[in-house]
Amino acid sequence: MKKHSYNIIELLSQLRRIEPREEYTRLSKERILSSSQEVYTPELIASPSSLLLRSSFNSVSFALVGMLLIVGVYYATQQLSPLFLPGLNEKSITAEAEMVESRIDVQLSQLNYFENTSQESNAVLQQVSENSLDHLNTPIIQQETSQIEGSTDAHATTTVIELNDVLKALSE
Amino acid sequence: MKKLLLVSIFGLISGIALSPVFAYAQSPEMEKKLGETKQQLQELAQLKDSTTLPAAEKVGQEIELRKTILGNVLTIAQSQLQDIATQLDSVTFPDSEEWKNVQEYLVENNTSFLSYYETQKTALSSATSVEVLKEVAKDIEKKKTEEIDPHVRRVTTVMNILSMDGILMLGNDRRDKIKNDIEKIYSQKLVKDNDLRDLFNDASFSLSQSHEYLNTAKQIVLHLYTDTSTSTLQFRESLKKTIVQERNEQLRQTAPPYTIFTVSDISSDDIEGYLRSIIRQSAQSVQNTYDIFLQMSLLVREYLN
Repeated sequence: MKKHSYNIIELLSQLRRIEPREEYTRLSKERILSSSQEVYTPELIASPSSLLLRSSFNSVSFALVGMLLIVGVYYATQQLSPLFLPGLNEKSITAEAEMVESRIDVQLSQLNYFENTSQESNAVLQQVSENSLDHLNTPIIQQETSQIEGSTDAHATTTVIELNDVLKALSE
Repeated sequence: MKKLLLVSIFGLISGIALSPVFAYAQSPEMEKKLGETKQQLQELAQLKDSTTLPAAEKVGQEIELRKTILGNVLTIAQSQLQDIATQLDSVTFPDSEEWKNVQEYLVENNTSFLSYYETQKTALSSATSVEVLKEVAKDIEKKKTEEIDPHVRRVTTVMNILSMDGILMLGNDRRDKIKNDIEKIYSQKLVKDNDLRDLFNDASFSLSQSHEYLNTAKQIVLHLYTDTSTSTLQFRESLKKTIVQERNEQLRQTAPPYTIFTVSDISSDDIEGYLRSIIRQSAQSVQNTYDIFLQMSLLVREYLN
């Protein structure tokens, strides 16, 4: 009992004086110094070219965001701007209205032509059937033609009247 | 200059989009032939009057001349139907079973009339007397007046309707754009009185009337430009009643005496005439719409300057 009774305090004070052996110290030091020097930093890529890429990527993305912001603001102000009225733009309405007008003129002239045809070809045919071949009706046909209101189609559409007249004349 | 450019660009794009079609697209070649035909008719008249030629020779020449003239007439008439065949092939019909029936009906008729002309050309070449040639001319004139010309008118009517369809779509787009502008103008209180709003409502109404007329026209075409069926007959009868009502209404606005129309007075030609008048009203409504749009744009320019 006495052997183990050298008191705790003395034991602790002995423990305070613990040191590695000199040889161990030297060995450990050498080992530590000879191991690789990698520092773990996940963001940093070692090679210089990828560093350049990294930084340029950053600047480009900043620039893009900046541009997007500018463009967004521009369009927002445009939309809200009182002078941005695409629907009521005078030039575009005028152009569209003129085009619609000319398209419709064509439609109307075709529709009107048929009204004229049914009236006038009857008149012409009557004349043709009453007269003999000798008085055949180029002058009458021309007269009827001039009565048809001027339209882009008048030229083409008088053909019908004339063909039917020719047929009538040939059947007598 | 810029305006001209704008108009021509619009014209180009819309021209392609709206595919303008004419039932009688007359080529210069056919024009020339028609001119020749008229001249030859005069020659024939002179020949008949001539007293210098011996009888047999006179008849011989008359036969040749009649054959030539009739041949030309057939060529011109055929080219018209060939133009129609091309148009029916190239134009876009609305995507539905009913419209497909209409297209087929028109195409079938066109094809059968083309082969009729071909048959007559054969009859022509084998004819040996003036009498036969007169008969051929008579036959063609009858068929053309009674069947083929009405067919050509029907095709033109359908082309008109399809063209109007494109124009109305343009009108719709413009109306929607203007609606946005109007809302912007009034929400920002850029304009105080209701001028613009009233004009817009007028234009809107005019455009919707245009649609209504065109839809009525389309219904008539879809029911009548097909092979006869029960529904077509019923539709035709009710359409005749509508026409009778309208005509009698017009009559009542004139002074008596007049004879009231009845359904039996209404012919196919009358129905066609009624259809054309509806399309005309649709066209006039859309013209009115654009007039109002123009007024609005000028008014806006005034207000905001």
